[in-house]
Amino acid sequence: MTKTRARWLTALLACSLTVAACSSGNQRVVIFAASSLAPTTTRIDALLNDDPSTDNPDWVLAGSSRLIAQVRDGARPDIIVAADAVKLEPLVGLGYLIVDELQIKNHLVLVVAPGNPAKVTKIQDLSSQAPLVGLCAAEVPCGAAAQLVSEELGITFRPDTAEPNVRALAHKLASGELDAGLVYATDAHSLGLHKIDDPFLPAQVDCPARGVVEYGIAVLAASPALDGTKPSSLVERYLKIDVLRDTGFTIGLC
Amino acid sequence: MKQNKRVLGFPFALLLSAWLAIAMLIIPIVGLLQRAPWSSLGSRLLADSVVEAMRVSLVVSLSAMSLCFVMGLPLAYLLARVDSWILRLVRVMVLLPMVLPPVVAGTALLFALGRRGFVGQWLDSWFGISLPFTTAGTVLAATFVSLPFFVTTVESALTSQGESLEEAAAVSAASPLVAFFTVTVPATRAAIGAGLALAWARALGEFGATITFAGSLGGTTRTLPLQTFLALESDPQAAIAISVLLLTVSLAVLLTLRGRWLSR
Repeated sequence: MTKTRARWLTALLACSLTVAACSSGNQRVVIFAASSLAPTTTRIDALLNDDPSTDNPDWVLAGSSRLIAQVRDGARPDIIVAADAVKLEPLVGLGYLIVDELQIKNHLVLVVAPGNPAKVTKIQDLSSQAPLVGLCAAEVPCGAAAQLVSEELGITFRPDTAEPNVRALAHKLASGELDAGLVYATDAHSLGLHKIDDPFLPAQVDCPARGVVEYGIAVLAASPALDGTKPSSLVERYLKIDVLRDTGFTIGLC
Repeated sequence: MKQNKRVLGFPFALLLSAWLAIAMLIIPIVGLLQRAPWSSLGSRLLADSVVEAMRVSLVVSLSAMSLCFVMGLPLAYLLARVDSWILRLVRVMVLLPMVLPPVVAGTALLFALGRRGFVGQWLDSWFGISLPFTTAGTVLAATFVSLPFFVTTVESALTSQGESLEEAAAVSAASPLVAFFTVTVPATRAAIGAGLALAWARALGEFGATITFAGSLGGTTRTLPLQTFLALESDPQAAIAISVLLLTVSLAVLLTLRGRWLSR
């Protein structure tokens, strides 16, 4: 009984948060996904449209913190993908299984405005006064990641704006309103931003300290979609590895 | 007694709908207040980041209000006293920022006055002026959205007041400019005050145009609404505390207007 109600609530939430079709009722799999997966989900939907064996899921895209807060407030999506693996751990107590077979990673890249007007060549240039620099606010994952990199490098960035949303930041770089900034590889990829080839730090340095963000995935243990299959198989049915790679993510352990 | 009689005679179905409307307006406010961290409200509002946002908000909203006064008063006067098809078009344009989604307003400002915008690129290359990501840009965004509130309030007052006072001044040989400042403005001061208060409140609450056009940087462009949005990501209690503050300020503005200017 409570399970039905929870699913109904999830569907309602999904309907209220997206423009997705709600008419198909509660049969569809609901996936909460970090905003950075937006271009990926569009591609996956297109693939699934041609695949009669699997129904399209209802995607709910939002910032990871907000998605997790919604689960804490009672939403029960079948799958949740957050841009921060650590933040998912408390969901175990709410009936979720952590899936660690699929390792999705994103990483910060240094991008510049079309034509590179400020002649930025390395991440250290973000601590100079000259270029108009845009970063994410430290309160959101991409900003926290940038802060870790600056600490590891021992430099202080001098941003002209610290945006609460990485997509908004990426668009300001794409339109040339900002000279340089740090965004996710996936945003640089989907907007065709001009990347500066700077690895920031050698590969021996820990992932988070060199701007690599590990995503976390959890599956609702009581999900009817699971129906005997392994949680990781359910995840891979929807989060197609090829598409993730094609949209700028990297797959594999740190 | 008289009021009781009115309620009794009021159609029940309409009364029900009216109460629904009242509930719709009040329930979200109650929702905010019941989640507010009352005991730690003071310390949360005195956090460095919040005080910084308050300072930016005050500077920005008061500057925007002043710009509304300086540019809006002559415009309201023009719209109230001169009639032409161009001004009828202008009257519609003045209302546009009121109904335009603020994010669209911000995007429009960016395409016009941004570094690559059609006016902004000349400002940048001729004068070295770049508005996005500066406090001036934040003021501009706030002025854009609050100007209609000032202009419409003052214009309607000027229209209903008519020209008789100015004609009387003209008879006593005052120049039109002198008549405007010594007769028209004092006679419209109540509406000017109300318009300023509304414009200020709108500027204080501005979010969408600001984040799109001016970005968000602590101490420069991050106003209270931007700080609230950011705090929702990391510290929702702080976000609620700032929301309570903004709610209180807005209510104070409305109550003052009601008490001083709108009641008879």
